[in-house]
Amino acid sequence: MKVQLHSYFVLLLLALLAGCSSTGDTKTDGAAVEDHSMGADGGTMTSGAAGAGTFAGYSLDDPNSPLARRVIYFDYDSSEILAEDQQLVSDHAAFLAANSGQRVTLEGHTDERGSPEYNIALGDRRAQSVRRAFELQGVLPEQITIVSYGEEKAAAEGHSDAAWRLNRRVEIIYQSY
Amino acid sequence: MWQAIRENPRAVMYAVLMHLILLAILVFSLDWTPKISRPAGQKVPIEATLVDPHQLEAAAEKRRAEERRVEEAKHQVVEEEQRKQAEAEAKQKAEAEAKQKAEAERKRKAEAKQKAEAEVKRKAEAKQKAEAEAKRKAAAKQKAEAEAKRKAETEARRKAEAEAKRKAEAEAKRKAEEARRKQAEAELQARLAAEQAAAEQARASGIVNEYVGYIADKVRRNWLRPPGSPQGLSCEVQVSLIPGGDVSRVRITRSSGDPIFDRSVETAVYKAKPLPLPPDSSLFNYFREIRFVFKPTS
Amino acid sequence: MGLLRMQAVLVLVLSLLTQTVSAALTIEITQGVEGAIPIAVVPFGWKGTGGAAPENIAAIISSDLSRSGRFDPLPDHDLVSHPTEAAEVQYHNWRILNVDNLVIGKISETGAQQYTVQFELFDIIRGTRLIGYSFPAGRNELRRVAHHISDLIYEQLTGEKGAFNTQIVYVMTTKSGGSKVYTLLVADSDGYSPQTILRSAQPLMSPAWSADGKQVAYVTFENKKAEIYTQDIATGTRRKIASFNGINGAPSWSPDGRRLALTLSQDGNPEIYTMDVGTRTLKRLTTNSAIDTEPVWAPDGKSIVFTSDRGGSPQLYQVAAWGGTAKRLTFDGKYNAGADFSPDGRKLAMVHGEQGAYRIAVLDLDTGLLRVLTDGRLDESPSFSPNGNMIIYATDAGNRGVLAAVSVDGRFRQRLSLQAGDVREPVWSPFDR
Repeated sequence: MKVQLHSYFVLLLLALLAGCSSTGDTKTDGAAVEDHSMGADGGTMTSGAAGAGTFAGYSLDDPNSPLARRVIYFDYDSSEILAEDQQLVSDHAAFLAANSGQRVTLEGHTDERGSPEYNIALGDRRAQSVRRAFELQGVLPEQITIVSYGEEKAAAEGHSDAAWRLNRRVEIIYQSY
Repeated sequence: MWQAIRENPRAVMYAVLMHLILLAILVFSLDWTPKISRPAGQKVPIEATLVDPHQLEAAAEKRRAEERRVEEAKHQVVEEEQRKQAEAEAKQKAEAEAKQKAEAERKRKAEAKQKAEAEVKRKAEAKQKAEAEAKRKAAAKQKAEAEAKRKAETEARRKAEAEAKRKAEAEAKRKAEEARRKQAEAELQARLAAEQAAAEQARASGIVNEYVGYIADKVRRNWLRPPGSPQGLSCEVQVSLIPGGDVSRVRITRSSGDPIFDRSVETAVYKAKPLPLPPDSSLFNYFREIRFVFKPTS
Repeated sequence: MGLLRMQAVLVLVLSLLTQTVSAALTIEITQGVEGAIPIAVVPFGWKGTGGAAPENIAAIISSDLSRSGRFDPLPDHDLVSHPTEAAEVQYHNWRILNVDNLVIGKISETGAQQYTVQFELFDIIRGTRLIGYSFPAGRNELRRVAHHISDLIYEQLTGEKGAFNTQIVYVMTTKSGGSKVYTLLVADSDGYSPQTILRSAQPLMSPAWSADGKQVAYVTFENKKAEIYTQDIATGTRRKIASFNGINGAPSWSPDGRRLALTLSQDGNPEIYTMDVGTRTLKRLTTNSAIDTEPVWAPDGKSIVFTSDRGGSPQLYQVAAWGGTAKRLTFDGKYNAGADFSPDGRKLAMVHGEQGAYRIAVLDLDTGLLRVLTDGRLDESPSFSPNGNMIIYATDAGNRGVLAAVSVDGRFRQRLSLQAGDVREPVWSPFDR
């Protein structure tokens, strides 16, 4: 289901790209060819094509953007980024790489089981995983701050597998200026 | 059935054998020959030629007489032989006897001679003896007279002494006799007592062992072992009992080195009182003093 | 009372072969009974205004003694008489109840909020009084006096130092409005009389007592990152000790109070360091790409035990306090972390995970044997009492964390009653706090 959602978002992104270039509140680089001609006879529809290496931006507050999703989940006792989250990581990495002045804090968390300080280290390891993935994709080290809270800041209360799954996570916190 | 035969081949074989033997016996016991009675000794009838019966008879008679004569002659010879032999034998016998008689006579004579000589000797010796005897007697008589004299002198002295001695001895003897008698009696008593005691001990040791078990069990049940104490501790306690099992004194004779351990051991003994004792109060002596060794094995 | 019955009685019978019975019979006892000492603690007499004393001293003593696992106090309704002084004690009455010892006492009001507490301890078996004391105490000291009496009774009857008159420090989380409030509290070892020593809107964790009981070190996220502070309990004065890049965590005081062992990840991943508290110089003890954290100092100051997953899963390792090769200590189970040393240095308490449950276990360093003491599913943060007889830990009761204490032999467990809130990470103080 997640894959479908991703595809949906990607499509949406493309659509938005086509549509939003005239609003002027995002930064772009490179030439963008815009063409608003739409034949009244409805025959052909052209849409602009973005130049290479260009992302037209979009609001961080837009709940529909892929960057709205900022939590990466992990398996028990693991700090490996799951396949289904690779795209999300890439999206954020891409954005940050394109916006090198933007800083994020990666918060590492674990579920409540086991020893608290060991869980601090485990949460840290998860955040480091995401950091490495970011840096591989062009994000600068100084853009990233890491904090691990271990089991101290649970997202979901309860002693069930469901709650635990929601707590094993890294949160990407965009720092505002 | 075939299975039975396969399973017991030997038995089958024997059975068959027995049957065969039985059969053989039967067979061979039957008389297979036709019945012809044939008295023993009789000759097979012969083919006879015709002959005159009177002639036959005379010849036969002649022959028979001849046979008789021969027979008789034979007999006579034999008898003659026998008689001769008997005579010879008798002669031999008579000669042997005569010889023997002569021999015996000779022996007897010799013996008689020996006897006579011995007699003479004996007589001579006896005579000598008598003479010596007489001599001795005379000397002895003298001696005896002297002796008697001396004796009479010391006699009086000795008598006095002996009297006293005798008296003392008699006394001592009596005493010794008495003591011996007493001792014998005592020994007898002792032996009896020992036998009795041995029998009692056999009974008592069984009971004592039984109650030792009860006591140990009760003390064990009341011993709260301190959980923190190290391994290998051991403590000895001397306990004095009074009849009824109550404890008059508890004394640590060998400390474990750990005061809490020692104290727990004392407490155990106190808590266990009155200690169970056998109802037979004569066995109390076995339990008067008990030494407990507390030595946990784990 | 637990009972162990094994038929192991050896009987040596001397002297049965002689007619005269002179030498003593010798009986060997090779086994005893394991169990708690039966004791009666009679409600103390009260002389003062009001219907009853402000604190139920006898109940505090009774609770202390039973929590240690070494005593089995008689329930109140079984007490047939209520003496308050020696003259009123009739030994045979108490012998019938099968108690070994008796505690009686009385409280008198001597002034406004001033009292005298007197107690006496008797040996019922021997029919003697063992000890008796009298203490003056203010209203707020009554509970501590009761704990002190428990210590005296405990020492007299077990030979070991009592740890009832001690304290614990722990973290509590409550919700205030829509947000969480984190507090660090110090309370009596039975959970009563809590006092807040720090309050924060961000998480607090890993409190650690100094050996002299005067300071606590802890981790705080008040600056949106993990930092280590030390704080004087009496005055509240704080010092920031470690705020390096990355993790600053799991502080542990050396026995001489001069150094802290801690976890730093400034060099790339969590490693064990020691820091001289005066000069702030660091010494790194582990160089390993795995997680190395949760250092705890051995009582002799010569080594440090820590958690590492260099072997694939979290296990306990030991390294010399000046550095060297780490030696693995735990081999039972796939998760062993969060160690605490017993005061004699011979045992380690830890969080032990097996089959999906996290429990408190104790490793005997001499024999290598591991023993699981609790049966919860989410037990963590074990801490030894200063006499090594009990372990306090955090467990879960439905929807919140609570504290519990278990005797080291695992025989007796008790939940501590505390105020509402989510309570975690308890640490037992040293003696004389």
